[in-house]
Amino acid sequence: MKFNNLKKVLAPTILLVVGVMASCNEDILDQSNPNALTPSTFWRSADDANKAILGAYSPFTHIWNYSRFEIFLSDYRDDVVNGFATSERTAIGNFNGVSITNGTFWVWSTNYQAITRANEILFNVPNIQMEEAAKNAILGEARFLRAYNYFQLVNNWLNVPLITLPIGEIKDPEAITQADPEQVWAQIVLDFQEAQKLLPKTWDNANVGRATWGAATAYLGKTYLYRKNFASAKTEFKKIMDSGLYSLTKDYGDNFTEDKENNSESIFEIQLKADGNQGWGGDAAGVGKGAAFHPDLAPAGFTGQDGMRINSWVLDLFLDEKTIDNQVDPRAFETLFWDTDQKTTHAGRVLTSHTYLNKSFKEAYGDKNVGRIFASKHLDTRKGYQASQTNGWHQSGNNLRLMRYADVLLMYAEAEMGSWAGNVATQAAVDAVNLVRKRVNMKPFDLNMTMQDLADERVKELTLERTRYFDLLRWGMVKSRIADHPEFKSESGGTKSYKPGREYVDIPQNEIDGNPNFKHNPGY
Amino acid sequence: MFLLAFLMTTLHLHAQQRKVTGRVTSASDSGALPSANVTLAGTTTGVVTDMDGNYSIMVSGSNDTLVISYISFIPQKISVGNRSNIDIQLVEDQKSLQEVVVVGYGSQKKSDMTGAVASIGSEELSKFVTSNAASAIQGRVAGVNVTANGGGPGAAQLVTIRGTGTLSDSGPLYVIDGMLTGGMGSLNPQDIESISVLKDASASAIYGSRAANGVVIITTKKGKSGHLNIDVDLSTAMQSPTKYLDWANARQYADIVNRARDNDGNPRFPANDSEFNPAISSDIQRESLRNAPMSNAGLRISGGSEYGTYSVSLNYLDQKGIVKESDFKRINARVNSAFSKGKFKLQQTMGLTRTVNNPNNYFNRERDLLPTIAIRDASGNFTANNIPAGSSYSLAGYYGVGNIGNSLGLATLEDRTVTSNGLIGNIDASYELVKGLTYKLNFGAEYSADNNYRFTPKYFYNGSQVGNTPYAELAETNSNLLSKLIENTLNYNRKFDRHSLDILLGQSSQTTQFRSLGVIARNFPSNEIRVASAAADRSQMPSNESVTGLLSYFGRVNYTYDDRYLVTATLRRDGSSLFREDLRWGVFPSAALGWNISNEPFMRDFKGFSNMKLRASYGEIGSNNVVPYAINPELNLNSDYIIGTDQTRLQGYSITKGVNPNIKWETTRTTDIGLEFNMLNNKLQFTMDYFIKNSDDVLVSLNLPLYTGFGNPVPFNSASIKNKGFEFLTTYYGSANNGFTYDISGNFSILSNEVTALGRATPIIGGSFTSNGLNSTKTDVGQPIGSFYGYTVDGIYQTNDEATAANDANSPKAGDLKFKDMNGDGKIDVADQSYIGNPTPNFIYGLNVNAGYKGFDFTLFFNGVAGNKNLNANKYRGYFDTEGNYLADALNAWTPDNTDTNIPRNTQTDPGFNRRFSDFYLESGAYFRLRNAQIGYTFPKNIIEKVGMNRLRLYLSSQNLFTITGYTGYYPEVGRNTRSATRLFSAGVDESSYPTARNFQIGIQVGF
Repeated sequence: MKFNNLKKVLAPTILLVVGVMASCNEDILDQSNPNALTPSTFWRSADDANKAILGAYSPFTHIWNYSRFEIFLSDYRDDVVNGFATSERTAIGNFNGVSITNGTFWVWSTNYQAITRANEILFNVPNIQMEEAAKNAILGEARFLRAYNYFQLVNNWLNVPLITLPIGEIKDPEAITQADPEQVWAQIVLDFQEAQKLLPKTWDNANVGRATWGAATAYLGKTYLYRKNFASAKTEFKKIMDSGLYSLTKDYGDNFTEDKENNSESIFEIQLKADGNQGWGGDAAGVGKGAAFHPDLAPAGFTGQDGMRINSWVLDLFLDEKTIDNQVDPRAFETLFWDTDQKTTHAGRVLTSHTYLNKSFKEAYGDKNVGRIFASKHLDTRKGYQASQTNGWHQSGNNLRLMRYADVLLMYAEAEMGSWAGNVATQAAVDAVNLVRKRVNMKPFDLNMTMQDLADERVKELTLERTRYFDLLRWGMVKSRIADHPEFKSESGGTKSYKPGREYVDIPQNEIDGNPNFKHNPGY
Repeated sequence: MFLLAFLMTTLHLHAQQRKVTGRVTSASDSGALPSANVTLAGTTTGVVTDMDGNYSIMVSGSNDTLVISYISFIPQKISVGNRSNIDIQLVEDQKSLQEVVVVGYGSQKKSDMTGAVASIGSEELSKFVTSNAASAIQGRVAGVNVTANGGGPGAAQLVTIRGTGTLSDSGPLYVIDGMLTGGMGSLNPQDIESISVLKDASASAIYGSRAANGVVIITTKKGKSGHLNIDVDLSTAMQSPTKYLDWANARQYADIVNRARDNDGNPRFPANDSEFNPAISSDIQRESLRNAPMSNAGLRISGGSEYGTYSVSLNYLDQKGIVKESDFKRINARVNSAFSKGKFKLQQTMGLTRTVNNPNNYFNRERDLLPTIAIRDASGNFTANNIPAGSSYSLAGYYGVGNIGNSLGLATLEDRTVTSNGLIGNIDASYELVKGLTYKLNFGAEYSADNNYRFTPKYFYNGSQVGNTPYAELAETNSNLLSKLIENTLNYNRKFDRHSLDILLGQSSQTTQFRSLGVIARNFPSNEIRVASAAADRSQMPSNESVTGLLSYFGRVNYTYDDRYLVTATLRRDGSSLFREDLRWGVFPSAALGWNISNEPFMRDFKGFSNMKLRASYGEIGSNNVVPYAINPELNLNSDYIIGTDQTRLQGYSITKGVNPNIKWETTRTTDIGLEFNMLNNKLQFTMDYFIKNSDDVLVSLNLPLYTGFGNPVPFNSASIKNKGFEFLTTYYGSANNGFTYDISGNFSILSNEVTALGRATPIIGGSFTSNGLNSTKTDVGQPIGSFYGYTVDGIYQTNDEATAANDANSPKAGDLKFKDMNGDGKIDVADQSYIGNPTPNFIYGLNVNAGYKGFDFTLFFNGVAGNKNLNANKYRGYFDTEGNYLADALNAWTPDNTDTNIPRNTQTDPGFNRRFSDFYLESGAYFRLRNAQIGYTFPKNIIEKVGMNRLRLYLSSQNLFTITGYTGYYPEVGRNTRSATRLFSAGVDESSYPTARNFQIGIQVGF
């Protein structure tokens, strides 16, 4: 009886105690994220600093930037490229870079990703205990990346916010205003100068590809040139020329093939690799960082994208003069694909006009596409690529050279001449240009060289290297060379959307929505 | 004593008494009804039936009337006549006032309830076979909108209770046998005993922070004491498409494109002109659709004794889809049991489910293949290219379309399976500590192991982006979920005189763990080798883990005075791991009053109405629509860059996630006023409710400026949404003397939804309906969520002059769509867009008719919606999109000779921007359909008992026998399309969502 009573009390008591104890544990409310590190434990070691700087380079290869979309804000906008079809890819080239177009904000977002990451590094890395040389290099790289991305921003959008602190250190990040472009330029100069002081002349093999003293110096010179500070520009370019670190490759084509990456002529290039990384994305595992602009350059029938063609004046310009051996400028074959049987021997190679699968224009098109000109540069048929999408959309591992010694020589010459305003050739300018011309066996210029000659030389040397549009922009020729020539954009929407101010892209709608201080750019 | 007995005997004899015997059974399953009352009308004489339902009663003459009654059955009166044996079948009183309704953490007599709760019984739920049990609620409950997300096998059901009060895709909370979970799709509908939908805060606030989108409580079938029952249910159905779209044939397509090219001043494409091949005219739409079978087999064994009951069931559903290459299989097993001894009770439920879903994700691309291209080549293989061999044309040069796929071919080649193995169940033990006071411990668990597998073999139809894959690709993810619930409740239930008190105190804790590991691998040695380890390139391993915890305390008091005045108050305090420590706890109170007017003395003589009750409630409930770790800043580990002469991809870190650590619950304040009353002796019953539901602190995603470096939308508690509505339910129970019984039940609800604040967030743009970035919906203050926003078409420009004069920002010509200058500023630009329709119906209704005659039973169940618009994206594809086939109707486009049309001229360059979003695409989404029609016959017991059965029913039924709608897409019930991350803003956007089928079904139900 007693035992029964005990049982009666015990059973529910045990039930209750077990139940309540098991379910009152407040610890279940404290859950830390098992998927990622938290920033609060970061910025402790040299390895952290290194991981951070790699993270700041990363936006270069995001699909929204150089691995694809940047081309629609640079070469697709110039007077060379005539993009097919009306789309968000050709919109900016048609002066329709309105605030809601993808191209308007994708590149912008990668630029600011790099800038905010550089800002974090410049704020946090000085406090890390690490080897001084390594620390300086990382701080120099961060300066370089910040300046480079502001250079892109101010040239594309003009009226951009200038942010040099980590977002977390800014009291109200949504009260930031668009900066005076002069301030942005001043910051760019300052950052490139600092980078120049901090960066190493060269990196060891394991670190090739990172920004160097040469890259900072060349871009500092380029910045001065864009600001028409020709004296300072000349000084910086001369430093490169006198450094003995760089020389033109014997073969012009070495600058556009995967087997000759990071060569003697290369000052700064985007590192690309065909490792299956593909698709859309950025800071995500295994996606969005494979080179994908090649289908946008490839000739009709060799791409699944809309693609583009080259305006005929470019070929005419190339064919206006011959090499010393009375052959076509070898750079024409490297740059263009058109209907010709002519050949040029250059650096021991016989160059022909061909595209993938070594097809001539006739073999590729028969009686179609008569008179059309397509691109060849970057497609790297020399490496053996057989189509722009053989192994998927992001097949090419060919690095994108953004600053070559040849460009430095031409910019030096321009600074010497005082650009269009000066337009007086000096021997130093002629010598520099002739170095570039000599490599491809073109007749040397003499002191009669004009700024137009130099501008044409830039087209021949640098077409499809993301610089032509910005040359026209800084020369004030966007209207006269592009907007007044609707035939240059005849395959998409023409140029009738041009209004003064539309040389620049509009401010992304996202920024205007998120920050009441922001204004559209003039012309939008 | 002796005298008394003598007298009685005398009286007895005097009245010429005789004996009448018989058996009382249930009409629905012919089961015996033990302890039923059999009395003589107008006397106090009565007996009760024995365990087998048999009775024996003395009657005094043929004029006597027997009254047979049994709890929750409709009483019957039968005149004795000359019969000595009278068997009686009682019909269950579905809407009995003694009906007990399952509510949160308990159950309540319907007459004592103060909240708005709707319930559906098993009878209704098991009427038709469905791959998702939630679809059985559709049209049954006023205020609950269930929309199938397309008609595919196993398609998700979107359940919205009393309007959307959130800007996320979250739905109601589901409570399955005491286990709290996120859906009911895994259940076998035949296993469900009842579903209760808790609609107002008084009923749902006991679930606190997860109740704001409503609560659905599901109770599965338990065994009953008595002998062993074996029920077998077999059915098979044939499903068929209800509609085909009229896509152009090859000749029509060529004519349309030629005309467009001519209009645009562009050369015609060879395939449509010089090289047109009259031998080819494919129709991949018809080739993709089929008649498809569906079959279901169920077995249930149940029974019990004095100390325990059990129910074991098995079910197998195999549904092929009416779109080829899609099918769905579900296997359910369920074991429920209960034991009791004295004051101790132990109950257990366990449901096991395995679903295997093979979806066809390519159906809505069926116009990718031009009709001028054959579906298969000469040797029978799928193709997407008929350029003659040796031709030098490129695909785009020949056909004029850059991307040509073969949706059926791809669906056939591709191997894709979503397999889910799940368990959900609970064990609860209770003990009555002192009279009226019961302690209960409940352990609940849900576990699922899912595998999501897709293998795309290497194939080549043509060189375009969608026409081939250069390598085979495997994408596979395994995920595991385990949710554990522990609850302690104390319940005190006593009656003192006229006071009745029911107090609940409880405490619970729930943790949910999720972990997944996936792989994306490419380059396989052969198309037949389909495991990741064989791939040359294992490029991605998406993986994720999350743990969330919720700790809660809750209580409820129900007090009733004299069955007239009812008071309910609830309180729940929830603590969640999703929020910051100091924002983690929320308190959710509710209170309700009820007045049983019919029980007032002054109503006693008022016969017109009965069981009249007025109720009113107010409460605050929450919604925790936040993904785990949303408040945690994190380092992104995937910001890699390539470095070194070897070009090594090195891991880099970055901060890419902006967070708002201040987020908290969304809070919804609900006011409900309800009135219930019956008429005509309870034959006619009414329930109506009016509610106002104000949701505040609704999380809305703000896109931070991109210059912050953050790319993610960051949630802020800054929006408010108001829903208000009226719900009406009426039922009439009728019968005729000849044994014909019937009931008719109708319900409707009227809803209005409005966003009342967005805070700093800008209007939410959504509803993308093309791959070209055209959006269709805008969610802004003063408008319903996801309202269609665009231009209004005002005919067609008949002349170029008229088109030029319109001053459109684009360059329309004669034949282009004319858009209205809404703001009258003399030009047509973005400022002329306006709100042109709401994708959410403001009126939904259902009508259910059941009838029985002798052994026959009939059901007609109708449902419908009204007031909503659908965006028929086939109009975009069919008239404007150059990348595929056109609707045949595009031939009826405007030309100088065909001006009386509403179809704009054929053009591919579209300089007038006809394709911009406008009401050109919108159509009424209203429909009225016969959801289910069924006729069944139950064989008389005396016949089937001879073959050892106690029940045999055959039935024929049809789902969606007809649908009345003006909608021209496949089916007006379109769900939400999947282009946007938040699908809520794509409601009503129809890009050929999986067509809903019509089916004919035959079934047999056998009981032993």
